Amino acid sequence: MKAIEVKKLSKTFKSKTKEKGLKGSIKAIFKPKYQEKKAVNKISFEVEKGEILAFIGPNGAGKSTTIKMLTGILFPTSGEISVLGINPHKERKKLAYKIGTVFGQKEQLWIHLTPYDNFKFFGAIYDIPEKIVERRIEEYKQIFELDEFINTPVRGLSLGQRMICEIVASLIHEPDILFLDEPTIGLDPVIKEKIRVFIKRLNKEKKTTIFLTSHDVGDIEKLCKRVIIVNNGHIVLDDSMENLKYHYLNKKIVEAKMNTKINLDDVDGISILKDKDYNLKLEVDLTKKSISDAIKLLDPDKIIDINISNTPLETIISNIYKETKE
Amino acid sequence: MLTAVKNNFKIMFLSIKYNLMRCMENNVAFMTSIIMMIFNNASFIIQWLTIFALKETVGSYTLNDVMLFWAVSSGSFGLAHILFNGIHKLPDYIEEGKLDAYLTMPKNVLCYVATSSLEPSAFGDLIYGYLALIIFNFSIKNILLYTLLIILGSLIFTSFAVILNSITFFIFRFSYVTEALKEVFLNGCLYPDVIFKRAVKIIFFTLIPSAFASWIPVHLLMNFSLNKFLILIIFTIFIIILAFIVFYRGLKNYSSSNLMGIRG
Repeated sequence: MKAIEVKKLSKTFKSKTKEKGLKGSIKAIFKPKYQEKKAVNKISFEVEKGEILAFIGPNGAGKSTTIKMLTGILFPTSGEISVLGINPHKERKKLAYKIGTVFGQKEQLWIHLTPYDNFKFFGAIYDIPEKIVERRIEEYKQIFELDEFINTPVRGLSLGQRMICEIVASLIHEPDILFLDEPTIGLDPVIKEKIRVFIKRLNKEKKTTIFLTSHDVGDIEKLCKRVIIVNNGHIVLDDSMENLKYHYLNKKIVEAKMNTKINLDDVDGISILKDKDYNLKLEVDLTKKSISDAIKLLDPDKIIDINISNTPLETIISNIYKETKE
Repeated sequence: MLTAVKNNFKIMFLSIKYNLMRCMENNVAFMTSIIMMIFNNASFIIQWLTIFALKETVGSYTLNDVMLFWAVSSGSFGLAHILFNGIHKLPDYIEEGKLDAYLTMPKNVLCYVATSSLEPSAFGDLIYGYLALIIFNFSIKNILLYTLLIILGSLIFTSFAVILNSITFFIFRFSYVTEALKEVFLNGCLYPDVIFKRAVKIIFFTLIPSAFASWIPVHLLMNFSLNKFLILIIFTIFIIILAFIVFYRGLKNYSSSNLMGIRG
């Protein structure tokens, strides 16, 4: 069954433009000019129940606008949306009981209250009986080790602790879909890992559908099996993570430590990324040359140590962004 | 339906309770702001004492009558800012995309936003309203009726503010105008109806409904009339419904934003 169905969804924002300086501001009062920007342009996609989907793209690509239309925050300009069979902008409240949202850049918690009081408040918002809220708080307390700060006002918590509390608050009603908009922004690696492990567990144990936007490749690589890339309001790629890697991993990085200095020039299919003292870093285009060609070029007898790796996912994604921009 | 209304009221009550807890985090600042507001309001009595020293009545009103306008206005204004101060932050919420947090909750957005903030000094207005009533027009009947009338007044004032502030959904940076109009509304409430010309009175009965928040309640306190009371109730219901309609129409234009921010 589909958790999310989107058909030809568009969102256009109208904004006022003005010429530079005070003169421009005065002119804009009498002769205002407007420009329309299509933040999302006729995108269509589906998400299966229980899926973990990465919805990524560069800044201003239309990710947050899409997530806000899916959660009922924004009204679409045109197109159809169905989230768990509900139209978000027609039945926003009904949908809110079934979804959870975490916006990494915006806090939903009351900062003068403790996480415990906040969780109770969110429990009341979702009309959950107190006993059940208590049980769930206890459960999350164990998972996230909330003991040391559950009774400290939110304003006194670190960014990581706050984000964990945001996630717990958004899960207090056990939603079917969790929308995460850059949940790990600004967090240290330990907290990031904790959040990723938890999201995976949540998906596995409770079959929660996860809709994730993130600029952190680690989040995408470790959590998602499918990825949708958007740019300039269009979907430019909708594929499994496996396929993404397979199709775009046609380049390998060869790093070699030599016992003597050798002089190399770029050849068709092999480019030199770094040449410093006895260390060399080459990029091999597998459609033109093989790894053994690269090793032969280096002269195997002079190699002390060698490391062959894939192009990092971050580079792949950034190349897709650039290609689609051009 | 009834359960949904009950649950909405529960959340509004909880929000007000938590706002109160926030105000009380700093007891000294909280108490000082209340006392200062009482003094601020009381300073206007001098102005009226001077006028009444020169003239026995203003129109047909005595000092005691004029103080009823102050009592009703301060009480309604204070109660509105204690219970529904979030409405006055609506333009900021709209311009900075802070409505997102409220829109993802399964509750009435307008009610939830309204109770999201509390102005501590508003307790000073409310206390001043009761003091003015007790000092100048004391009776048990008056206190009970006054309490009911300032509840209606606070609902009218809040609804008017919702309508004005919702214009920000359509016109960016409109809050300068809405603030000025709210001031006009308040001034209309504070001064006796007799000092205004007919055209101004029409405005205060229609576009800027100060008459319903202050003049009619004062007349009811001076001389209760069931007809006037019913008109007041009907108008209150009308302006509340209008506020909801305008707000939800505006919400369709909400464009959010990606500004980083925290809940205040």
